[in-house]
Amino acid sequence: MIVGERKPVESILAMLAPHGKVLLAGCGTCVTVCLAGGEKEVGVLAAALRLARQAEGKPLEVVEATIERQCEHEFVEELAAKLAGAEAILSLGCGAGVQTIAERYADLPVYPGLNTSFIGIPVKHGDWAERCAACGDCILDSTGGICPIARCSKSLLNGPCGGSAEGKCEVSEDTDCAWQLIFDRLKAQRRLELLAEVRPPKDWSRHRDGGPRRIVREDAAL
Amino acid sequence: MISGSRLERVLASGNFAVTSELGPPKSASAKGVTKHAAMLKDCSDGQNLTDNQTAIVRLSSIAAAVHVLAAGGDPIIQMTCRDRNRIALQSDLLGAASLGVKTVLCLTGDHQSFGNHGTAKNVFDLDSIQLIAAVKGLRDDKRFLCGEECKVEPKLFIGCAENPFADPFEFRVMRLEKKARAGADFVQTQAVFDVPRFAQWMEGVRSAGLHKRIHILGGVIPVKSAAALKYMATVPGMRIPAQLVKRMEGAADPEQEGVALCVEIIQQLRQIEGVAGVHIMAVYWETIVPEIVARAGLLPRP
Amino acid sequence: MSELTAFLCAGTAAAHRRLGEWARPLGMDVRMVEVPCGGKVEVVQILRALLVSEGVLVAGCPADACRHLTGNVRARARVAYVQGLLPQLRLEPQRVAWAELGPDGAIKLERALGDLAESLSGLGPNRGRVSAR
Repeated sequence: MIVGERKPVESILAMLAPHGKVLLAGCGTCVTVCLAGGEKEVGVLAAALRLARQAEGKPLEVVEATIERQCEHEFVEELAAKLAGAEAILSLGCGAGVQTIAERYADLPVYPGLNTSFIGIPVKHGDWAERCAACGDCILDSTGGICPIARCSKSLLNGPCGGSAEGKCEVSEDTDCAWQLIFDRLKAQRRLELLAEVRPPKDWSRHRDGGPRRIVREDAAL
Repeated sequence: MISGSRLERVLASGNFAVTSELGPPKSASAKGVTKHAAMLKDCSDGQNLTDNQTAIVRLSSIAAAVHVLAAGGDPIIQMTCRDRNRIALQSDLLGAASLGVKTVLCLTGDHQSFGNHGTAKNVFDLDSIQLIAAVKGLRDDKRFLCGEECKVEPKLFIGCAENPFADPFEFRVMRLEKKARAGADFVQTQAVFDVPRFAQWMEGVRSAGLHKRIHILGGVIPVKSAAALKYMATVPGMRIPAQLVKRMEGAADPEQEGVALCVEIIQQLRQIEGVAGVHIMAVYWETIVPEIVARAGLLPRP
Repeated sequence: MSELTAFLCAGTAAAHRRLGEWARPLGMDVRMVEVPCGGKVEVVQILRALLVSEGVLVAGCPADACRHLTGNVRARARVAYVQGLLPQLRLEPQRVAWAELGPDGAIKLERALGDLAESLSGLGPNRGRVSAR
């Protein structure tokens, strides 16, 4: 899933400073699961914003609306019914959600309430970790199902650098060395020969470096 | 001879090689580089110019190499994958060769979070092994990475680094093998303090026959104090035996003890079959290198 | 006059029922919200209570004595979260308090409310409060 994190309330308050009434939009998909932008977080943020603005002497009216998915026009349409009088929309969706809303309600300022962080998983309650860099050319078949692009600090393709120590990355002792994990798994599977191969430079044109990406499928077009 | 570099010549002749290291300054002045190059040229067969080491902005390694050449030295430019993509790396290889540089050391590079520009975007378009292959492709096949022809190839002697003390230990020989296969001519290792562990790695290297495919230079660092040694013990991938710290702590003259220790390690490395030379990393203490090389019995240089 | 909201877990229900008599002499106006367990008190409820009162007390069982095992731990963590959030809203973190009570905690509850009222009296009115209850 996409994992996000709410921006500091101070910066959200700064964005909303010119407005007296806003629609606060949550998203029921990824950011609900990662506890950053679902109905519950919308409730908390709405109350927090009202408290802060009341204290400033500039009361803020906040209309709460959480839709199934902010990244699809079909669901974003539902917000129209709640927009009466709103001067702006604050979205707790990921970057894709914010932009879908901004596209649909192009006459209103739309603000991001989250920082979209990464594609990852919850490793335990309250702890999310990155797993995929959306590089556009998956190599997990040859790395024991552990992605060095997303999980090695240097995205190395030919094994660990000289900074791998006791299973940890030189960048942070809170980070596992992805190549130690890959080595251990392939060794356990008796597939270490995969690591002996010199992997050629990656085709980064399929990553963001090739420009904005798009997938068009005739078979899926209506 | 592929490159005609002094290091290549020394290694090819079977002599025990000595390389040294020189850190370019955090300024636009070449004074220190020129001064240290003059000091190091007669006691070492090549002088490494670090490439923004620990991700701190410094005078570029290629520019520093030109000053070393002017001072009569034999520069080894370090080249990391952190700051340049394959376009810039290949461009700089051509540029360096055109300026008279004959030796390059291919490195992945320290992560930018260690340096003074922690908010920088990193590159890592290639890794060190892919960079080695890129240099070899340019030199031997006269081909850029994209396959296009390079009419006048850069004749570079190709070096790499390896850390025998990093994890996973079992992979470290395999990684050197990959570097040799990619085209590295020589390797300079991480600083050796734990000689038995290094010897254990060398056993693996020899049983893979790697010492016959790649020249191995063991790294050494002269330390000035017990505190410096203790600090090094905190660096990921460094192994410092506790008795060495004790020895430095008990020394009446720590600087002299540091030199003696360095000379001893060089002599121990020389006894290990397959070790073709030493790489002395005395950054911020370049002035001590001539004394170390002399006391190790490695002067005059061939 | 302090107008407080207190969230009480079921374990302190007895205290809740007896408080009416004890609180009045202190000059406290307390709205009691009975919840099955402290763990049921959400951050949003604490914030919404602050929109309509001067301060909020969340009262639950002592450590290791929660009949739902970790409800008290959750409640305490949420109070701490709100206490961390309030300065970002330019409001005083002392407006929210946590109290550990037992099934016989009536006296402790009275004291906790008294302490909260006292610390609030030093702060002045809750500037974030939107309306009376």
